[in-house]
Amino acid sequence: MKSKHLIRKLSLFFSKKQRQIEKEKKEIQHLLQQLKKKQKELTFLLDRCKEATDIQELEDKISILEMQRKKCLEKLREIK
Amino acid sequence: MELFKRFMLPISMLILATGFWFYPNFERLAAGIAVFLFGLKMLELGVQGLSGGLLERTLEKATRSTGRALFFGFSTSTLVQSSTLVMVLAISFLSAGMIPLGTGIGIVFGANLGTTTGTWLIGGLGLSISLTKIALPLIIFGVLLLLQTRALYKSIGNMLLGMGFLFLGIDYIKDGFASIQYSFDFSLLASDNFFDNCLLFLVGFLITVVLQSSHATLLLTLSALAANHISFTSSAALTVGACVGTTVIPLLSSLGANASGRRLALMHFIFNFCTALIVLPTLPFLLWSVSAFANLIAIDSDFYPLKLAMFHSLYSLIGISIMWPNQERLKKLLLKLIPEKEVAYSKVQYLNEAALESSATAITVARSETNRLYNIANNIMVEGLGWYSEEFNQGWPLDQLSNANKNAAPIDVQELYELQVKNIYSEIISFISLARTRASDLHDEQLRELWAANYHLVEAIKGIKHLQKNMPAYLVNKNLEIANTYQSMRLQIGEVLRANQLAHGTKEPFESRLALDHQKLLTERINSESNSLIEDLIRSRKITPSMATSLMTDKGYVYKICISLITTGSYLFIDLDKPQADTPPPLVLETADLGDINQKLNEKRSETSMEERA
Repeated sequence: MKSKHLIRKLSLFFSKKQRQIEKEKKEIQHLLQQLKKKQKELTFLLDRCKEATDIQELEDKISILEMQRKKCLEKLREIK
Repeated sequence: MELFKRFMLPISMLILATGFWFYPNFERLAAGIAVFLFGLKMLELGVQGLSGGLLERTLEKATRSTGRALFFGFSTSTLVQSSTLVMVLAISFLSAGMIPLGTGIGIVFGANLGTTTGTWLIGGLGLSISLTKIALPLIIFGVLLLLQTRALYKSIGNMLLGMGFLFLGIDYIKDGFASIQYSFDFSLLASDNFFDNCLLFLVGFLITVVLQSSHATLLLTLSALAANHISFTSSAALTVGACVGTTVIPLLSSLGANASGRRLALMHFIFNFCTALIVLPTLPFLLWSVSAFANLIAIDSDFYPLKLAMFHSLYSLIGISIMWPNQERLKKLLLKLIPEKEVAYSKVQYLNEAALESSATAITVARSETNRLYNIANNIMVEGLGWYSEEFNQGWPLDQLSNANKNAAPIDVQELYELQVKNIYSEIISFISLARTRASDLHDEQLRELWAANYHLVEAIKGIKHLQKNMPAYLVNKNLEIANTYQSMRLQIGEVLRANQLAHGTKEPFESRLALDHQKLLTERINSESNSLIEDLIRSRKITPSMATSLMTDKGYVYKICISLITTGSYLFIDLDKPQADTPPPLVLETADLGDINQKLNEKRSETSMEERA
């Protein structure tokens, strides 16, 4: 396990492309966390909302976040 | 400024050519000044490239107190060795309304103190050792780095080259003075009384105006002092002249700026001129104090260059100690001397030529002007839709806004566009085009996006102009179906304008993007549903065919207006530090993605309504 880790670190050190991929991966993972947090926040609000127009707006926004999360996961799979 | 430049260049070239003809030894000294000035320029370029707009970002944040602003002015002018550059940046930021006058005054104090560090370095080290030995390796490493493709290496290369040329210039000037000692009568620069000091003050002032750098004048003074060509008193009078002379360039640059910018440039002049008025008559006493202090800290009594550096710092400290307690009075005086004039709607408020000196400043200024144009355009569009802009801007719910068209004729959007928008729009476009010629890749993209934001904003106004043909009449039509449809179209544009307001007021880019993405989703949804809606209205004979054709055309306009406004909003209000082109691809929603979301939501909502009916 340790040698695997070492090889990974070495390949990161020598390959610029690999470093870029790692950076992109970290960015997307961070983005996924942000999207998930926001979606949770909106779902919480939706559960307590009674106004029809507000419900529709919250549903729309949650769907947008879902789509962005889906695209993030696709991108992550593509990178891996 | 243009006139000044046009006359200064041929006159200075003529003087130099004559000088070279009659005094061949003068060439080395002149070459030294040229190399030194080139070095300063390279150093400035390197620091700007390396900071990547950090100077401008820090300047924006240095607003909390005058003390912080003073520290900012001191550290940046020490770093770039140019108080003029710091002043020009501060004038641009003040003109753009990014910093208050109090901060600007603090920066003036700091920049004046910071510029004395150069005198300490040259006086303390530069004249006592041979700098060519250090300069040549610096130039070689600088060129090597400059040939690299990475911007970071290039900037470091520029800095090293700048320092190398600065050192080389200092050595050239030292040698130049040694070679001209028999060609020039230095006794002319001797000073015995107050009148002589005033004359030398004028000489220092004029040399600085011509060379556009107080550092170059100070270097010349220090070199002449070190070679014993001039006395300590003469060098001090020349230094005071250089300090006042350095205020001329920012003063001329500020002519194109607004009242705030001109106030700061005047403040810079007042600071140095008033200090000079106090220092010149008390020069013998001050020089005695400097000598006494130098003796106290065991500096050789004949180490005059270092004593001159001490005098330079003392000059700035006297200025600060006099001005610091009178800041409020100074502010009042500046406001009285340059009162705020109300800027006509048709004229630009923030754009100024000085801001073109730095790409990051140009972006800030162009953004401020575009935001102002957006506010003007917002009011025109709101009134063009038949609402009162005051009510809209106060945040009234859209369905409760009064219908302005009920009592008065609709406003002429085209006329207002010509009067209030067209001139500002063309000035912004021309400013951005000029700024782009000097910008780095990142800054160029930000400027391009600002250009696009302006373009889409104007497209939206044009769309409203087209809507004016039918909208005012149909909104009050007796046929309730057509009146309601036009009302919903108007509300749709109103919602987008409100989303832009929200995005503008939100500092979190994530929130701003979500608000605008939501509007994009709604616009696509309404657009895809509109055709079947119109067909239904025709089939059920609720509207006439002529109403239907108007409706179809206007729906197209509404769609274009909404998309243009959302695009403007995304360029203007989401993440001011990064261009939108850098948005991570998963966050960018294409039309197909929006279609998918709408389809899923439709299915879900119809299922829910069926369940409720059942």
